[in-house]
Amino acid sequence: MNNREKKQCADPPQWGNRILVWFCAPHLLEEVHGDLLELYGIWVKKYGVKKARWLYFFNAIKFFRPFAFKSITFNNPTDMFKNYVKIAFRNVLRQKSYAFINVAGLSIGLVCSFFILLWVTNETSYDRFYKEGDQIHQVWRHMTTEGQINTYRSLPKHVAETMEAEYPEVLEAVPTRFSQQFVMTTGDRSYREAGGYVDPDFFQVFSFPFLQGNPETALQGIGSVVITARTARKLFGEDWQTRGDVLGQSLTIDHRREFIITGVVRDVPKNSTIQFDMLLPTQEYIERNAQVENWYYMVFTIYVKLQKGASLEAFNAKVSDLFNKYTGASDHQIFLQPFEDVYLHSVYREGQLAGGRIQYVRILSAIALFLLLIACINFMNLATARSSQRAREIGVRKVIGAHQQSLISQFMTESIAMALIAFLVALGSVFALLPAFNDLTGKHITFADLNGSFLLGFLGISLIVGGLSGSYPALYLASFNPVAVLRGTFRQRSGAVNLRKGLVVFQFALSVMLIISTVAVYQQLDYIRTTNLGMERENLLFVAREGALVSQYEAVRQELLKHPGIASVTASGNNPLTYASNTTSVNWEGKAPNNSQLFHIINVNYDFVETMRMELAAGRDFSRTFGTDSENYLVNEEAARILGQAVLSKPLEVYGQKGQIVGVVKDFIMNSLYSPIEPTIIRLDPEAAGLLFVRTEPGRTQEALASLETVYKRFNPGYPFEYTFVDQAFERTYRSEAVMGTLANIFAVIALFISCLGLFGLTSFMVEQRTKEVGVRKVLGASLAGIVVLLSKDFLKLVLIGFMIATPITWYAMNQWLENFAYRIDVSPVVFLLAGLAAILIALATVSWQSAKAALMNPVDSLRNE
Amino acid sequence: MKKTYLGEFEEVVLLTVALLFDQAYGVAITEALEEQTGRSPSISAVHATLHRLAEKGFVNSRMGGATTERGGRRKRFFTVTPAGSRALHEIKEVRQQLWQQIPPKALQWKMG
Repeated sequence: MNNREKKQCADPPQWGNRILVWFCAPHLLEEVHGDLLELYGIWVKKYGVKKARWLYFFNAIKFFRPFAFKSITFNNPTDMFKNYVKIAFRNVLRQKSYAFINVAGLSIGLVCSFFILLWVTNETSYDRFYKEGDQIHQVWRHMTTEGQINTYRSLPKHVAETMEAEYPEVLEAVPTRFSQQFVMTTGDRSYREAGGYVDPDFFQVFSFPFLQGNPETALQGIGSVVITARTARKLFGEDWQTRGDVLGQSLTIDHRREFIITGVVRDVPKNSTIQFDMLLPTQEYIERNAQVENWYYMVFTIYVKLQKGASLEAFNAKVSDLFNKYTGASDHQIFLQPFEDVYLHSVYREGQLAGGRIQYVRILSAIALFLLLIACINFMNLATARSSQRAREIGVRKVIGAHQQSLISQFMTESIAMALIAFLVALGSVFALLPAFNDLTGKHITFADLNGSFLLGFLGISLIVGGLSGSYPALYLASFNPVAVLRGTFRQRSGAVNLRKGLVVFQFALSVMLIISTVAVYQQLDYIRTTNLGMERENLLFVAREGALVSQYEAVRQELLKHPGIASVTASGNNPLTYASNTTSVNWEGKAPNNSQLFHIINVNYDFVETMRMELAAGRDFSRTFGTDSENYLVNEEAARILGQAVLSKPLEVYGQKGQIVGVVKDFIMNSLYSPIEPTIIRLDPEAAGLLFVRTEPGRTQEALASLETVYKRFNPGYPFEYTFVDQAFERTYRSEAVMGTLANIFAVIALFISCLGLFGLTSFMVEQRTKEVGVRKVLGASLAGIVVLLSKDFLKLVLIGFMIATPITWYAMNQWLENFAYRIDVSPVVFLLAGLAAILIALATVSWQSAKAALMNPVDSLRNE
Repeated sequence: MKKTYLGEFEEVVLLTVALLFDQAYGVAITEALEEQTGRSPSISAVHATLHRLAEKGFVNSRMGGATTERGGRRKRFFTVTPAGSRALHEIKEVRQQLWQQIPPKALQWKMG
């Protein structure tokens, strides 16, 4: 057929042809194509070119039927499987160090993501085990003070009562008061138990299963108590259930009243924000505290169960003004939040939900995905970098007749096998490190919790990682040209090198960032520990004032001072380093009429300033010699500033009680280092000073403890002796920062290791590319050192770039974080330099190892093929 | 002998193949179908049917007859196998038997 004749066949549309060729089986293609062309000629004559082209295309598409498909040649892979496994195994043995590094890299990524998966699953499972849990809500209030909106969960009991009475959507509204410590006495044994006061309808809202007793009636009687199985075991022994007489037993609580056990519930699961070992009816608390009748006495947390299907938005709109309605105020807003969400979403800023623990969940999930991604990329890097080792094998296989498909399956098998090994290693590590993990995060995950679905999930992740990371190397390796390979002229494509370089820069930047962050966090924590708080927190401890400590305070105090090791004694309503009560009902000369400044209140006994080792800026402490001090006040410098500087002897009115300011205390840290000092008023109110503080003489702590115990046991025989050191309590408030520091540390190490993996891969590749060059240089007389420097220069550039990128980002991020603290360190440039130096040194070690190996190679070997 | 049933379209195509004896290939069969039956099946439907008939063993094929209109590509010619022939005859007999037994009153109306 000559060209002229070919031109006479008018052109059928090319894209139709292409599609046809794509899907049609080769043995049918010829006749089908021929028929279409013949028809095309006929159509052109019949209908004209345009319609003919359309008909051609249309009919070509219609051939897309099963009979015409190319057979997907699924070469049965199981035949070759044994061979693939054997070869994979031999490869591992031959390149042990490389295989080890690869598996290590994958395992680390897997272990981290497994732990993060465990943590996230645990966090999201909190409070989600109640029946009809989606109907349970928690009540909050917004309070607007001086233009700022603060959100609290403490409410007066009236809110619950009016809600239940006025709104039909509310099935139950239960006021509760948790985190209470009780002393439980049965016979002559006393125990301290944590628990709370709850409304009798509590169990209608929260479906805690009753092992004994009736949930509907358990707390109806004011003298009833419900305990958990754990408590029952503690009180009555392991066989408490079979004893049959636990219900109806009486317990004395706080040595003030007898209660009858009316129910035993199953132990509260760990993933619950509501924790207790015993429950008393709120009525009992109300009976002893008449102030609860006041709408401004807000101590209860209120939970509400709404009707099924009730609209939360509509209800919130209705109930918003509830507080204002009954108190004539205008600054409060009541609203409900679904209880299941509260644990993770409990931070409010300016009246808006701003997050909470959910941020950690999100960050850690992102980190897990990120680490897996990096692990995959590193695996790909290493596999492709060392691929010239396999080049000859691939060439031979292809010559013998392997399909591209088979080669791909071979390398995928190898990758997945490695991923499975990494999975086993990771799994083993998870089991081994679980206790350490629990320590770090404060969780209680047991081996039993690592159940089938977790293991399947882990396996799934490992397989996906293996498949993903193996895909690119498999395709890359399978595409080698056998001719070039076997001839010896094969050189790897350098196409992906820039990507690898970018990756190395990125990984090192990340490592440097993490190293600097770790150091900064540790420095800040250190600063927190050593900063002057305005009072001496070492050698100070407190016990709760119970029993005789309340009624015979003076006697106890005198007795303690007689004993060795004790320097001074006082009492206070709260640990001065923690947040306590505050009020706006403060009046002073010159107060603006609508000023609603919030003041913190500390109720104390005599000797407060001295025991706390606070400093007086002016005036004096409360003193027994002045009989009128019960009406006088101490203020801190911040309060003095607000009241108008020279405040000594000026009048002050708190809670309607008029008195004088007799002293100004130098500012001390209340609340935390996160917030600036708030104005504080100290009043002499021995009744309300519920904690007994003891200052011990330095170096004689053990003696002091012994003394305290002796005196305590003498006065309060029925109370288990329990004390808290103020500095330990202080450290505990910064626990999450400490955890953050440790995490940053761990991640820094991991990031550095993974970065070195990436660098290692890149170096291997580059070195291989330049083998001949190195050989020639050696022949011409270059020294070992000279060659190493030459090869390493490029990589150090990369690390430096990474460092320079990391520095400004970290500096900015660290300063942002430190802004949270009212008291903070300045991040010094020395830290940056040291971190950069560390990264560079480690990178250098990695690179020079490879370069040295190349430099030591006999030039004869490298130049042999010329 | 196993009974493989012939679909209606398959039967018509097979008959057309027989009709064209030795010159039966895709385009010719389609054109003959149009002439004889008035239907215009698409070329792909005809090919698919031929493929099915070949699977059932009722047609054989051979390659040949490249032309310029076809861009030099050969045609695939189909012929009816003995098995195919037997199947067609069987159908014809069954139909004839049925026709013979129908009382005249049942099918009075004809074409035209």
